[in-house]
Amino acid sequence: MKRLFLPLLCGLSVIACVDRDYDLGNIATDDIAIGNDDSRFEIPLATVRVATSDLHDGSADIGSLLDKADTWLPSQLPDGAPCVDLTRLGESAYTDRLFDALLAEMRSGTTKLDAVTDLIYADYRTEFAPLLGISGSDETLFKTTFRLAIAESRQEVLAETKTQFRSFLATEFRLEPLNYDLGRIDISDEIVDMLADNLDPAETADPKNRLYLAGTIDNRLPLSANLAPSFRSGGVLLLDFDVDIAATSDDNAIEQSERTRIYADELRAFIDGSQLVLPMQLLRYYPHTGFSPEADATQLSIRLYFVKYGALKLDI
Amino acid sequence: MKKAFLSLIAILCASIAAAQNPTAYFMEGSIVRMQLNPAFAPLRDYVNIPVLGGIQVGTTGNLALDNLLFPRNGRLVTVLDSSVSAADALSGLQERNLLGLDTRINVIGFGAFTSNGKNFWSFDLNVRVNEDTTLPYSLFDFMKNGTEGAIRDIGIAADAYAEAAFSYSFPLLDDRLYVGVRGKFLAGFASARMQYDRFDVTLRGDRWAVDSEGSLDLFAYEADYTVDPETGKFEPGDIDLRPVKPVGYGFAVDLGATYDVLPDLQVSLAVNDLGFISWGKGNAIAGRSAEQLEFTGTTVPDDGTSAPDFDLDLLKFEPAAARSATRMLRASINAGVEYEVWRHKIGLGLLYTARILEHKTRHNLTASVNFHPVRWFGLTGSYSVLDNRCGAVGLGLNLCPNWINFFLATDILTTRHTPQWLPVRQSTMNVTLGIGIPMGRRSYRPSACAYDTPRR
Repeated sequence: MKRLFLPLLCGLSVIACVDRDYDLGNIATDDIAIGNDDSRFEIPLATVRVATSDLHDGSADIGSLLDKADTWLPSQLPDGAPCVDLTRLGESAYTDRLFDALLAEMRSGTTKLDAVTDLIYADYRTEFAPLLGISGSDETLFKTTFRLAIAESRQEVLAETKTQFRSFLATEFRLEPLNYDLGRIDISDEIVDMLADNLDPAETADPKNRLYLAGTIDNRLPLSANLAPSFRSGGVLLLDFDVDIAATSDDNAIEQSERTRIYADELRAFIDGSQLVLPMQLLRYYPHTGFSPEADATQLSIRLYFVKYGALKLDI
Repeated sequence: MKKAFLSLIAILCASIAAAQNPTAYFMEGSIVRMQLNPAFAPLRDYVNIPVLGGIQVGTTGNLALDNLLFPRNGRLVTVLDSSVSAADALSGLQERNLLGLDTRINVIGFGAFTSNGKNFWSFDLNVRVNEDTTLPYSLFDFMKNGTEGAIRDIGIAADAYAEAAFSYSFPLLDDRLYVGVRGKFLAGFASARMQYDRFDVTLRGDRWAVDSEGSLDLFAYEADYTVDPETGKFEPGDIDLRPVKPVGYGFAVDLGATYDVLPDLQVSLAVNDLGFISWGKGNAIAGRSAEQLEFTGTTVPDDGTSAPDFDLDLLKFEPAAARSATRMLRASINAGVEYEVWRHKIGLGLLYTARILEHKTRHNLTASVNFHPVRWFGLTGSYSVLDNRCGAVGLGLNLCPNWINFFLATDILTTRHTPQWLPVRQSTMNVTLGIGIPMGRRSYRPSACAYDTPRR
């Protein structure tokens, strides 16, 4: 027994020191990654620059449109409001108050009256000429007669003026949807694989590896709006969502949500190139707030990026 | 007792897995310890068994296996696995994480005393392979946290060479002082250096960027590479080589001395591998990697600027003009002191070792208890403190009866280890095996284990 003591001791120490958890024959290397399950990455995608010349209502550009709106709207909005709530233009009471303020300003001074008179002659003289009882071919006569009709509160002229006022705000004061081709994104297939390879599918409960489209919008327009961008590739809808943007603000966030979640196939389609359709529903207009009418000025800058939750997969 | 020894030998044999083994330093009579200090000598003339005469495998550094591998959900995953949290991954890492591998295989070895039984000469032909890797903390920090990384000094260095060594030791000062010198002719078969001085990565929402600068230099017979025609670059995998002939030559010396301060007290000092290998440019490959890529996203409408695809991919090199190089060996310093007690049956040793690696100098302090009741048997237990951090328990056995010189030492026997015998928590590992045949003259040098004839 004494002779066996030393070998037994050594044998036991050897056996006791083997750590089976560290069996090098079972090393798993299929999930090598940058980061871990708790990581969050942001990946730049694209910056869409919307120039002044891109914004129009189908015929008039944004500059003309805002000039026309400034003419139609009173210099001081009712109740000292800073903006016109374009979503309430269907309410007669709201438009009546706007129109009454306009009419009061036209009657109290010549600046607004002259501006509206010029606008009526330029855009609506065919509608007003019969009401004024003139042909409309003589500009001076037309404008003199219109001013007189306003001063005398001729009902048919006021009614037509109100009709055109409402019509403009309700139907003409809008912007056509924007269309952009995003083209192929300049990142390598390896980087795309890093993002896409370990994304959890939609049916995964409590997914860890998720990808979202997110971004910020710098809006230089004196307009707040609801944007409803949709991304398509080969006619297939990849993603659509909507976002409200404040006027003259560079801090409009495209928040990640289930609507902006992207899966592996969609991501690859994004990278290969997609088309962006960007409808804009105008919500509020802030008259006289520093619009830059230069044609090449960027009015909207939409910075898009991906947000990846979980690690970036490395194929080693 | 003999069965116990044989059993112990069997167990130790099972642990063969590793270089400069500090456990071997105070094991008198072992042939292997002459590699640590050329002033040492065996007990008799000897001829080594080819290849088995001296196998030393060692790792050094400050990276342990459990810094790199983690059990997770029944699997063993790497530190880069997404299931390993940044906190877990980074907690055990240092500012510079080093891993060195040192292998020495004695192909031919023999030695003999001169007629006085004190002067000793030997010849060795060894094959040596060294590898050093340094991985900065910032690399792991970037890999685990992933946002930004200013990574410096990623480096891998490897050398493979043969050394033909002739050593000679002799007494001075009436046998108090023994001096040993080993001259080594070196034939280099392969040498590689890959270094990234700068690897800055930014992964932010508005900007992904890489700014890197690295180099690759390789020397080996018929070394060549295939360049990717699209990129004009090559990767390490594109390199072909046949390291069957030497392409570099050099010289080195080991210097050593032992001095008996008192009859029971010996101090010793050795400086090993002071030398160099000059590598010719005729069989050299050089590459430079300088990437400055930035991706801030596509601009829509297209502003006319075009950029190459953003790619994080490393390890692509543009061919550069190859140059010859002279590289120093990884020198080491061994300073020891041993005090004999209990009628010279037990020696208490303390050894300081400094090993100058490619990227940093490593320090090691080893305390050992050396049991040598008779001249032909020695058993040593040691404890090493590595860079003031972790420890390693080593065991060594030396048997040198008339018919065999057998030596085995390791420091992984009592540590927690993998089924493949690699230590889990210990950042260094050493396994040394030596088998030789004693013959001819016996040593007349004073022996540590001989109480009746003390060292002095």
